[in-house]
Amino acid sequence: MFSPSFSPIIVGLEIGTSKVCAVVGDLNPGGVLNIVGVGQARSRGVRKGEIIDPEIAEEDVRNAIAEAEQMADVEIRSVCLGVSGSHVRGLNNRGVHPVVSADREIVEEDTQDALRNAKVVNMPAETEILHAIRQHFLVDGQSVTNPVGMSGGKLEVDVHVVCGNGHRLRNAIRAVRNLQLEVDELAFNGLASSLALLTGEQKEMGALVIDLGAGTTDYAVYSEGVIKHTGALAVGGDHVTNDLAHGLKVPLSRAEQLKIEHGAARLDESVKGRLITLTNELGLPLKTINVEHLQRIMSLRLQEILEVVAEDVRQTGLLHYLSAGVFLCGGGARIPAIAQLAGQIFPADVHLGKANSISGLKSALDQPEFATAIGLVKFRSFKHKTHGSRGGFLGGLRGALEQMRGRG
Amino acid sequence: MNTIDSVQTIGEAAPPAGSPRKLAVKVFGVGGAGASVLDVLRRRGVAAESCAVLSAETGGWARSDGERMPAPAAAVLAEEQRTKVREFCADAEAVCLVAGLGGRTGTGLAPAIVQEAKGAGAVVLAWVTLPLDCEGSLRQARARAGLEQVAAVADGLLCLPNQKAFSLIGEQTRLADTFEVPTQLLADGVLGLWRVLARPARFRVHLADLCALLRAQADANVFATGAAAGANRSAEAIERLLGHPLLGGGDILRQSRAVLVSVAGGADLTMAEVHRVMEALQSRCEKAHVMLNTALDETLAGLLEVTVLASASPAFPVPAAMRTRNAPAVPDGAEGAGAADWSPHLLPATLPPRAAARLVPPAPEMAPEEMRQLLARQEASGRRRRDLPRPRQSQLQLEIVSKGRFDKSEPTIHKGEDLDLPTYVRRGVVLN
Repeated sequence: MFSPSFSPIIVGLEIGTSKVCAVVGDLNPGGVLNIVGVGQARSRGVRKGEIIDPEIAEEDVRNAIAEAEQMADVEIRSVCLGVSGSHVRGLNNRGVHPVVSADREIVEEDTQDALRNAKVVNMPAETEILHAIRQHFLVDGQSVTNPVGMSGGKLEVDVHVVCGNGHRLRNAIRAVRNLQLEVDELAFNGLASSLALLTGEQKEMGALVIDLGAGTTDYAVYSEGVIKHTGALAVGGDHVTNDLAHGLKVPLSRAEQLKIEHGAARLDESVKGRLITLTNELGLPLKTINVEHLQRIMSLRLQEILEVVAEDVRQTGLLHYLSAGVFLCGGGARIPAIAQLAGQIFPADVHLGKANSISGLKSALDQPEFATAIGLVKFRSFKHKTHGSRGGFLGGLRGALEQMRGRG
Repeated sequence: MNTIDSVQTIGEAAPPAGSPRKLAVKVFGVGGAGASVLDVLRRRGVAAESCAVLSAETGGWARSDGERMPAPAAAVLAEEQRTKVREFCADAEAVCLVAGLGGRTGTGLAPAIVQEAKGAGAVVLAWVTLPLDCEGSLRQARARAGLEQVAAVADGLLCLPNQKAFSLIGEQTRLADTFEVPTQLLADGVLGLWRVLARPARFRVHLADLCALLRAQADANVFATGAAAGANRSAEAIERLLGHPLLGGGDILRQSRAVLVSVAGGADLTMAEVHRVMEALQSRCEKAHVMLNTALDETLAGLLEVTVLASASPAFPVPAAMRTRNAPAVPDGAEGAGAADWSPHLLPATLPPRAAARLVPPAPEMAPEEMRQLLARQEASGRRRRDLPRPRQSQLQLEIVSKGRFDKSEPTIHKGEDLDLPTYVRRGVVLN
């Protein structure tokens, strides 16, 4: 192995509806993350972002992991797993903690208590918290970034909580565990994609990331540098295919192929009246398809998806604060004219997102489908960095132990 | 031996004051069940002079010196009773008929009374109960037959099978009080409808729409009510409404094709509350045409009462031909607005000028009564078919659309729409 020692590998695994994707990242001692391997496999056991056939899903995960191992030349022991589905939702919550010390100075423990209070959300019993992301602190109502060392009477903290149904989350974990892989951490796909795509500056200006997946459309809104809203809509590219199969009266496999070859997010005037003749395997004509119908069906569905997202973001009041723009990723970002369509719906610039904030394989970073898995690697790397920064003998020892475990 | 009392107009009270748009509504109870429901209604503020009861039993309230008629051998109305029914209904635009089916009086007389009331020019909405399962098959069969007879003649029909209310009859309920529960349920429903029709409203549902909603097969229509007071009354009222035994835990609403929601309250009723109620209900009846009616009733001060009338009948026509006396006629071209009036003496003035063509025979000589009947027949048959509005897009749902790949997965519902169905189908885009 030529990678320098003490550089742990981090693997992001996304079990998507159309493909399973594993991305291997390498965190060098300087804290710079490098993508060294990518593996993917067609996914067959997932609908709307959730596993419906564990056996097939496990097989697909195995294939993707094997491919990534081969490419990065590592052995994967644990992954950071991305989850999504209609049950995942985001909400903002506030935790309050009175400062009790005699001199009213806020210490680290106070912030921890406030955060703990903020995680108490009134939810159905089986709902579990995926993330509780700190937005900002308030000391006696005044907004501060870091309250430690300040004095005040009441410490409050705003957090963004992403939660989901515990049983459904565990289904995904179980599929991975069955392959003798450890799950280090769970992360919401929409959050992961936004980590891969956005720079700190863009988060500061306000941005919306929409991951147009096959089974789900996940989105995350940033403003003032912190995450403000997340959501998952269980409608995606599969629905486009299904609509086409229904409208053009062709099988799903053929609809998928037509979508990729002739699809567009907006009705292109030049295709009016253009017909495609479908042939069977012997080359005999089977059916004639009107491209105009194909594109109309497709654009209506995509428009609806984006409108649902826009409406949800509008309700948070952030729709007009997306100065950095809207960033599209996932397989849906490949659809021709999707940016123009989104530009009509969102009052902001629309960009096709690229994983800019990471170095590594250019071929992987430019693909919009890999944004989630790359984001998962990045999400996990934050934890490594915080562990590493403790320093000292003990920290170093712990780091070394962890790496030994990580690399086997 | 039955002794059928004459039709009695009970009490003499001043006519209720209110907005000029409200309708003259009368409530007619037939038989024992009808009498006890009307008793409840009287106690809950329905004006006495708009109530009448025809019953073989003594009934629930103190009677004035009404005439007593010997009971007819068969369950038919004597001529004198017919006249009384017609007199009572003469100045009403809508009549709510309440009857318990299965017995002799209600089952036998209800269809005849409906016919008399219609003959007097009123729109008749029938509220009937069906016997409990344990009352025996004879009563059941008789009730079914009566239900069909009533359904055939009434403009609208709402039916409460007592068996559905049985779950509310507790273990400790004494036999004598068994019918308290269905009586209360029925009284709540009738009162809700009465408020829709007879109370001043900001959002008013047209009587024609109401009839279109309730005119259906014998047991396709259901009603439910829920009332609550206090700060959180809109949510509580909805909760009680959804717990109503006739709604079957909300399944009925989901299957309904047309729903009338009436929100009634005192002067303190706010738009926000109405909005909350509608929002909660609209999300529960995705396939239905929803109509809103708000009724203001000073007796409801501090209370919020939600009444839902739902029809599962597959097609909800909006007939343009249905008219009432003071409601504006739906313009439908040929006949003009004047034909809105049913009273015979106005008929000649409303007829369109006839072209002097030799091929058109002159109008036949007819008595006013015949003329009215002929007009009613025409209204009922030909015109309605001609005037059917073009089906709205949402009715496309009648066509079964396969969800393809998502057939077995959990549906993705967003604002009442199933997003798994192709967008172009839901939006009604036609691919030629």
